[in-house]
Parts: sequence; C-alpha cells; structure tokens
Amino acid sequence: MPMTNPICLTDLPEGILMYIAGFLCLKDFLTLCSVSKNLTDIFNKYLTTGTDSYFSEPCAYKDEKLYTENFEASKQQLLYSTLIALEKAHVDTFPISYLPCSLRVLLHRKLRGSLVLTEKLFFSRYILHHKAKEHALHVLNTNKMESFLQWLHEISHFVHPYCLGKLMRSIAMSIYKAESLLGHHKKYYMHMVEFLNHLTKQVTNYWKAREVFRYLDGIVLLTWRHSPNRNINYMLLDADATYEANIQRIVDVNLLVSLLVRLHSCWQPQFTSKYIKRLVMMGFLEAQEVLVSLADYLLYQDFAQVLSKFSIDIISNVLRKVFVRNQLGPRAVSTYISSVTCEWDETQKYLLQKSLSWRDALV
Amino acid sequence: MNNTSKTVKLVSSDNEIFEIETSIISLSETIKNVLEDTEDTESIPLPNVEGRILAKVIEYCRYHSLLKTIPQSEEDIERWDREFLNIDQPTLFHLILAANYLDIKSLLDLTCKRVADMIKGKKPEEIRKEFNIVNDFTPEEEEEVRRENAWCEDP
Repeated sequence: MPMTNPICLTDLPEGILMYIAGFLCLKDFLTLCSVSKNLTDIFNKYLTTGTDSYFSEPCAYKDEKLYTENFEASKQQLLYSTLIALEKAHVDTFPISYLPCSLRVLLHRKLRGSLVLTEKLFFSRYILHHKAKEHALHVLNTNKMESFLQWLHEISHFVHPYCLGKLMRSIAMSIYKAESLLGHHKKYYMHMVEFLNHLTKQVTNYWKAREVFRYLDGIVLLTWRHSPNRNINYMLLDADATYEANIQRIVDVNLLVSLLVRLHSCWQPQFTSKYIKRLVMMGFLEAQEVLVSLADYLLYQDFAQVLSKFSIDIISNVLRKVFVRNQLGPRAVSTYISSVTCEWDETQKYLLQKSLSWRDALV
Repeated sequence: MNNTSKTVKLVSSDNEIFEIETSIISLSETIKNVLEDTEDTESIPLPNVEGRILAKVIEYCRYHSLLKTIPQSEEDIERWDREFLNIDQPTLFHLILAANYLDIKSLLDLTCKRVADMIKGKKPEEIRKEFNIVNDFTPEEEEEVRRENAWCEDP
C-alpha cells in the first residue's frame, strides 16, 4: 500500500484550521494561536480582518466607534436576538469564561457565511478586556461620562451580565489601586458611583433579577477576593496597608449599598433581601454591614421588609447596630421592631426581643 | 431503475477503483451533485483522494448510511466513530481533507472535532509536541503573545 504523503496540522488549509478552531473554547483557541507564528498569523487574520466584505476597512476593528457606526441596524437586531437566545440557552452549561467563545462556535455553525456576527461578539470581548480600563480612566479624566455610558450600553448587549460586572469591578479596582479615595481624587470615586448607579438602573430595564444578581456579583466579588484584610498574616505584617484595606472595604460596602438602594426602587423589594442572602451564602462577611447601611437610605417600612427575611440572629445584630449608630429612642426602636415583626407569631417576637435584650425599651 | 441498487465507480488518485452503491456515497454532497448532473456516469475520478483514504471514507459512509435502515443507540454510534478514528495523525488530516473535498459534513465535523480534542486543555509546548510543530517564536515574541492572550485566563 502506498504511504500517504506526510502532512501535519499546519499544512491544513486555513479554512479547515478555522473550522477546527470552531470546536475549541476561547482559552484553547488562544493557546493554539500561540503555538507558532504561522498559526498566530492565520488566526489573527481571522480575528482582525474578518471574511465579510462588510468590514472591508481593516481599521473598523480597531476603532469601536467606526465599528458601531458601520454596523447596520438589521444585523444588529439579528445579532442581539441570537446572542440573547443563545446566552440563555447555554449559560448553565458552559463555564462563564468560555461563554463568548462557545457562542462564537454556535454562531459560526448556525450562521454560516455571517462570520462577521461571531467576530463582533469576539471583538466585543476583546475590547472589553483591552480597552475598558483605558476608557474608564479616560472618561473619568475628561468627564465624558455620556460617551462611556453609551459605549457600555452598546456592549452590554453582547456580554454576559457577569462579564459586565467583572468589567465594572476591573474598572473600580483600577481606580482603587491608582488613586487614593481619601485624597484629592475622590471625585473619581464619586464619578464611578454615579456611573454605576446609572448603569445599574439601566440594567433592570432588560435584565431579569438573576442576571442583575450576577452583575452585582461581578462588582461585589472584587472586594471579597482582593481585600487583603481577609488574610490575617497580611494584617500582622502591614498595619498601614490593613488600614487602607479597611477603608477600601468600607467604600465598597457603600458602593454596594448605593446600588442596592437604587435597585430597590426598580425591582421587587424581596430581591434586595435575596441578594443580601446571596452575599451571606458567598461568604461575604460584610453582608450585615450592608444591611445596617441600608437603614440609612430606605424608609423604615422598606428596611423592615428587607430585614424580616433574615434569621433572628442577623435581625437582632443588625437592629442593635442600627439603633446604636443612629441613637434611636424607644419610640423609633419600637416602630422598627413592630414593622419587622408585624407578620410574625408571638414566639418569634419573643425570641427577637430576647435576642435583642432591649425588652425594657419595647412597648 | 431502483436507485438504491445503482452503483458507481470511484477512482482514487492512485487509480484504485471502488464500486459502491450510490445511496451510500450520496452522503457526499460533491458526489451526489456529480451523479445528479451526469446521470449515466459509471466512474468518478477523485484525483485529490488516495485509495486508502477513500477506503476509510467509504467505510464511514457505509456505516452511517446503514443507520438509516438499522438504527443504533447513540453510545454504539459514538463507539464506532471512536474506533473509526483510531488512526495515525497523517491519515486523520488526509481524512479531513477528503471530507472537505467530498463535502461530507458529518465526517468533517467528526474529524475536526477529533483534532480539537487533541488540542483541548494542552499548553502551547504540549500542542507543539503533539503535532510536531516547531516553535519559531523568539522568547520575547512568545512572552508578548502570552501577555496578549492573558485576558481570557480564568480569574
């Protein structure tokens, strides 16, 4: 039998290499890109120029403004609806970090000949990670909040809420790291809060509560993962840094409270409780601080409604802190407690009163 | 004439001749089109496909055509496909080229997915070793590529 001509992976035509790449997750795809110059060139060509004559201008991919302008409304609509449908279908079966590529693969197969759509998705993720911080800092330096919001609104249609939350936390982290929040750059932080408040309100227009939760997770997990005060050794080694870390932690709690207050008026009230319970489940120790701070912003009936969903231990801890911090008198204390316990039975009321040890102050 | 019993001769690049039922080889869009365009054709030359690769293609088409009349469980089909692809790399790549040339989508998917599986989870160095690819990056270039791609790493 004649021997088959020797052939290796890099001898395959570009089209077939791309087809193989379509079966890879994003991480493996980029690993493959970094195997040899030949493969890098082929895949870079695919990623940066596309195969659709629609994007004949190479710079279109390098300039998101041009890119957006070139994108026809009809294609945009198709892409949005497809992406949203696919995202919903696959969000639970793919690791989040692989989601965009898995969508790319699906789109590649479903929308043969419309590679531009998948590339748009890939590009948005690329932009998300490479340009986001530059954008954020530029915007915060030049006060072009509106243009940044517009850009974020655009990409929010393409990326999973969790990824968007991660972007937010990445931006926030850049600012936290680069600037002293207590110094003369405090305005940057205020801009960020203002921006997040604005965006958070917007996301409720088209995201379900679960998606908003994930978006908030993206912001919240920053604090939890990067806060050095979690590490007792770090605290022992560097007291000054711990002080800064504590400042940062407090600021982040404030940020979260600010977002939750904004959300509380946009979504069903029980979602606020649900999200804070989620924080508890994630091991976010500041969950109780968040509850305490919420008391400063919500009407006491609203606050009581949020609080009433928690265990008696948490309720009593939080109420005690709220009463002491706000120096509430017996009447206010009584009103709070009766609001929280209005739907409780006598046993539960008794347990809370006992836990609070404030029975003398109760009516 | 009963279409299912009709046969056609496929001639490989090394002049091996395979006589096969048209109903089986019609899994190939290329051959199906040729047969539709030229009804009385007896042999189809396939200058881009070697005999031993064409034999594998026919083996694949025969099994998967049979599934239309004798259905099998997903597990059995997967097992067969796995055993079918128990081949060396050059044969696998030639099979990909043949599937592409003959436009047999299911075979192209199967073979390309097999290559993708060989890539999955590996580091660049392991992929080079697996596919015998020379690293032509300078250390600086490699570092730059690594930095460029770091954004997709898990947090």
